[in-house]
Amino acid sequence: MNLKERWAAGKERNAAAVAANADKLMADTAYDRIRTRPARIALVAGFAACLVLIAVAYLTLGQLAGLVMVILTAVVWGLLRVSVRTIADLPDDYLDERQLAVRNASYVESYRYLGTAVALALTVGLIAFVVYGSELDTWDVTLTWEGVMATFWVFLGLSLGLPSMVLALNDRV
Amino acid sequence: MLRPMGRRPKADEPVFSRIELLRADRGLSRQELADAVGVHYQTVGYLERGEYSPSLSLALRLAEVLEAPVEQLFSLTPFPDTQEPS
Repeated sequence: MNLKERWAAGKERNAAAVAANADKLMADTAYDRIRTRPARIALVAGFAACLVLIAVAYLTLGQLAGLVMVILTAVVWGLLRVSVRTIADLPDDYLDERQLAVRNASYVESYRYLGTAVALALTVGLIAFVVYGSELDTWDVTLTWEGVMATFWVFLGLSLGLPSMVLALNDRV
Repeated sequence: MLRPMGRRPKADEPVFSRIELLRADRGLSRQELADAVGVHYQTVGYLERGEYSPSLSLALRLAEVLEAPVEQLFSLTPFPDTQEPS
């Protein structure tokens, strides 16, 4: 089997796995306990808290604590995705027209939230620059490994998790 | 009635549906109807409660499976024999 055939076979296996997982999640009732309104609110709050705690753990406790928080956040994210039947992440082919409409609306809303957060952060930065610009020569910004890891994981988690968070709060899946 | 351009009617113009009635008449469960028209069973629930307005193609598929004209399934005014959507 040459590389091209292996690639095609792998792609086929992956598509079959996604299809099997999608079918399983769409028909799933085993996890209905985490699909109630209070459970979804708790998962969204828990995921948001985990993102904050990743930064806190990396910046105050060190790498190991940060890594533990990343793993815990991944578990909460997994539960959040199951609670909304992974609608935010499935390919279009596995969603019906209502689910597609709800998914698309959640991405629009997520983009607005993320855009607002980025715009606010940049505006605060700009204001700080204007106010303290004359003192910039005295600033000493040190980029640490923990600081980079905290920033990376928090923004990765936010960008991956926001659509599922919005879906969970809108309660239409 | 004229509507301002670029504005779609939303909650102020609900679509009334008789899917639940006709589905029960045909002896179909929500899951069976969902499988027949190719949607998730929750979507059938949303359609029955009037909380989702289907595309034309889905409406036609529903009409075909439930063996009724589309105008017997959906209406912009309440059906005399059904409750208002929640």
